[in-house]
Amino acid sequence: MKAWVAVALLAAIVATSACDRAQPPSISAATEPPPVPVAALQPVTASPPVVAEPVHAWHSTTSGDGGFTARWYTDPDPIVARDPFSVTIELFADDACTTPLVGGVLALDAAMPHHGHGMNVQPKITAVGPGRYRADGMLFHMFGRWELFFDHTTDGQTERAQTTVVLQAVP
Amino acid sequence: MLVAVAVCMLQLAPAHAQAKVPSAPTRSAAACTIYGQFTRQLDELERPVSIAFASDGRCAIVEADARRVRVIARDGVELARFEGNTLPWSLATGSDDGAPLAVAFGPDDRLTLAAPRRIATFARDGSPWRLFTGVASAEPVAIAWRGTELLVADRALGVLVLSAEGVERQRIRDGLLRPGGIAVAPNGGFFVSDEDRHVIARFAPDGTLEKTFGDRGAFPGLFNGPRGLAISGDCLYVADELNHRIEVLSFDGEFRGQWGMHAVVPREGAGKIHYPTAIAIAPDGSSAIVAEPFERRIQTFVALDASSAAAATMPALGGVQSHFGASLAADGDLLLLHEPETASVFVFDLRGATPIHVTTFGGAGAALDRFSRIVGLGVDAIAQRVVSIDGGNQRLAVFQLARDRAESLKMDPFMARLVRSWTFDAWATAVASFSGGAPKSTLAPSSIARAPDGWWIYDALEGLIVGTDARLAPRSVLKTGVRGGTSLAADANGFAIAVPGIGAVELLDAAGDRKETIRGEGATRLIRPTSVAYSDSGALVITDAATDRVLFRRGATLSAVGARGISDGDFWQPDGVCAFGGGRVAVVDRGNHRAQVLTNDGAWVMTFGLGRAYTKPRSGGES
Repeated sequence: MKAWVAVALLAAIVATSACDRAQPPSISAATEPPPVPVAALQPVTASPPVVAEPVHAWHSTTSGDGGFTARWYTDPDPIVARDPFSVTIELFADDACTTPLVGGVLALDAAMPHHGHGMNVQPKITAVGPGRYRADGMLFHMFGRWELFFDHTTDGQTERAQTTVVLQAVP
Repeated sequence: MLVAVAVCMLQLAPAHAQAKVPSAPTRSAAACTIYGQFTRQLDELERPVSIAFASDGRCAIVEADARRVRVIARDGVELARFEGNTLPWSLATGSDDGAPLAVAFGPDDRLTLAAPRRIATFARDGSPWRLFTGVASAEPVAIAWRGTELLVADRALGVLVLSAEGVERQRIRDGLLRPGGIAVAPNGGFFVSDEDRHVIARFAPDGTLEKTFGDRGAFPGLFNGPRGLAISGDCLYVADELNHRIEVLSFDGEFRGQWGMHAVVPREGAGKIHYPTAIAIAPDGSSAIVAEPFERRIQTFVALDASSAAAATMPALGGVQSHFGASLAADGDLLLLHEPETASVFVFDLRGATPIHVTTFGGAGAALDRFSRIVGLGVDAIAQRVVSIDGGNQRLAVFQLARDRAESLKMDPFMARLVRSWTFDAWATAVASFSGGAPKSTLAPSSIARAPDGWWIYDALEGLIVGTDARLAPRSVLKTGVRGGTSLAADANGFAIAVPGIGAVELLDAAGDRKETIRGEGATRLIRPTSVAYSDSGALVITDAATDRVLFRRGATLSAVGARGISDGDFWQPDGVCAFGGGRVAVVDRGNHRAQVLTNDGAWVMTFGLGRAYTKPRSGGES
């Protein structure tokens, strides 16, 4: 009888933790979710652990002629010099970012105009949804001011949105 | 020693240089003669664009501005001269409109001349032998005989292979953007230089492309606007125009040597090379002749003595300041100039007494915000936008200048931002769609002028003037019928187009219909008008690169100012003009590597370059 109660209590404790996990705490992008406790007894009815969707620091920039707005975030954020990073991009045909810009081709590039050079790598751009893209393999190989270019091309005509990213050395 | 020089140059390469450096040869390099020893020069030639040797050592020189061909002996004595009414097509047709552009000696040493759409051959005794009219080539830059076939390198069409009867047998394009020269190899294959791709293309005898080598740059094996070619033995000689040198390579593109160095003082010569466009090697290999139309001369070189201290020298990598190109534009407090060598655009602020350089953007490359060969510039000072026409990358582009007039003047490398870019093809499709016609595959915008709330863009191939909005989208199309122009000017009454090939400026009304052809006469006769602009007083301003003058047309009166020289108010191949504001015009004095500012009456007021300007005249002024 006592053993049955102990098991029930243990199950109750584990079940309660899963719910808690079902309601993830509010975390910042820099905070890892709490580790799932490893128990000697595997709960029979436990739910799989739920990892909170990280909160991204979205940025936005509008093209020079106002034809589209690009929203984007990097992974990691902030960008670490000399380490590869990815960029998730959403393109919208309006300033309010309600209408995805579908069609066309997106290219992502970066340069340091005052140094006269760009990146030493060519990122891979993948379309992951309507107006949504992911660029992998980006690399800022030095600290300083970078200009990031979002080039959207349709039928041989390209419009650019540009933004500044400054990598500062960590003292 | 040449390998040591090459290694030294490799070590000097900047860490993030874009040039590809060729790998060191794995075997000992075959010897090629490096003709690095200057012997003599022939000056005061009127734009020598092509040279060729006969088997007996005679040399023919084409002077395009004079519409003349000279034949000289080994010792430099002139043997014959063809000009005016003695030109072969003049004899056949009674007209001397065709300017010869290329020369070669063919079978039995027949002198062969190529002009737009015409090829003429003389027998050895000088009598006309064959005349071919209706040839497709409108801009032949070089010709070469291959047995009984004539190969014609044409700027727009690629390579044409003609039979001895002038029948076109083959046309070869294969990715060639802008052929600059051609040379036939002993096996019947041939090499073609490509100015816009900065490569040499090697073709098999049947016209199949075998390989290309080179890239844009100044290091061994690279080129910057390669032009004329010559072959001696198994060595290829390249007139590397914007690197100001002759480069020597194997048939596989391996670097073998070079000679020449940019002039230190204007008109220097004596072995210093300045914009070479053609080279010929004597049949016995004893000498090489290099043509420099920019300097109006040819120079003769012999083999460099291996023990000589005057070894082949590097081109000036840093470049001489103010190598301005022909395209410029001004509006309000903004002035644009560009530099062909680096494919860069310079922006000047005009709010002070002299132009202040505030940013440089572009640079050579294929990226959307870089350039290959700028042929047109426009600026809108209110919107602070720049429009560029890039003939090499075949693009139109719009840039925004992030410039706060309230801030103090400063150099800002981040000022220019690309806004929009059109490929020529996309723009041609838009033009065709607007006008309801089939897309033209060969539109080649070549000049731009301001229009109300937009731009006028001139296409030299089809003779169109396209009115666009600020985004360069077409909104009107005028069919002018004027082809081959190099510069467009516009005012409220119509247009002016400089057509150097016929020595005239065409005036059009606002509908694009011809009103008048200006040729001038006597002291104002136009020989090679290169650019036009309307001053703010309404005068039409014309630069003539052949006569080194700037001409002003007010009403029906044409007057000229300037003379050939280097003093303030003198010019050397002026090419590029725009209204400057305040009743002034700016002129690109290309040959003197500077820009000059004149009043609307043609009086000199200023000379400037990058970082330098003066308003008090100097005698024998320097750039």
